[in-house]
Amino acid sequence: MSDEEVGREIDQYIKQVRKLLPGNFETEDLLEDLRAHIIESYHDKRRSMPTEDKEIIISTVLEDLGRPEEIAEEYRKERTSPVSPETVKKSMRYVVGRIFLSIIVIILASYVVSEITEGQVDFFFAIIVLSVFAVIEFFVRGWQYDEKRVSSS
Amino acid sequence: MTKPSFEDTWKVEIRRGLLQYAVLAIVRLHEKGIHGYGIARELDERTDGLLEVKEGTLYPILHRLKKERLLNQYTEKSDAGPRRKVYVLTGEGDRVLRELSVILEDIFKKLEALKE
Repeated sequence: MSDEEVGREIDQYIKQVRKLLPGNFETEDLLEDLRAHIIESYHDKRRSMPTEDKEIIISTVLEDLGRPEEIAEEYRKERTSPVSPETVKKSMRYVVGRIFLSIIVIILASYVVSEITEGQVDFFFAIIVLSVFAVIEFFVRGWQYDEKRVSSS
Repeated sequence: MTKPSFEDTWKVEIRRGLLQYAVLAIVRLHEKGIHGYGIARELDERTDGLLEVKEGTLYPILHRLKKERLLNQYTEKSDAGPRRKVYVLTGEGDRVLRELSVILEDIFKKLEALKE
């Protein structure tokens, strides 16, 4: 079996798993993990069994990994298990904390700018401008996140 | 297709919770972190394959533990090819693992007492 055929075997396996999972970022992340695992395991087994046929090695690797249905089943179970209330609370605290911190930074920055320019830049005007920048930054981050999703799929 | 035995079904049911515990315990053994394949290998070696884990089913569990903020991850270059994720235990993960150890010990003690 050639390296290209091994690669095709891996692609085929990943394709089968993908078919059973919802099309989202989490799935792509999982598939990326599976691919890295397969390659790691394949090279490890090749090192320990240098004379063994590549076809047998890749079959062993995929067998150890489990049937795509088994992985999809585990994925569904983990997704449907409720996230602990403690984690939800922590996430909320994080979001509220970030918003609070942004407001403080905007007010402080506006005050400093207004003071340095001796009132030439109005304090409230600076607050509006910096708030607009903060909102733009929010959208840019969202766009970067989407780009990352697309490039990893 | 033959129907799985009662023992087989029971094993599958208790396996999942124990697997989450075992994954956290293995990650704690590696201060600098450990990648998914390493976790699968250690799990098999240290438990003599007791949990009968299909390696691929570890990843949904790792993702879940990450979502619960019990694990953190970073990526590193692998000798084999693509970049791989390395998992490390968070402070919260360490606390939860210690708590789970106490719960497990208590469960086994009480189950043992049932046999007497």
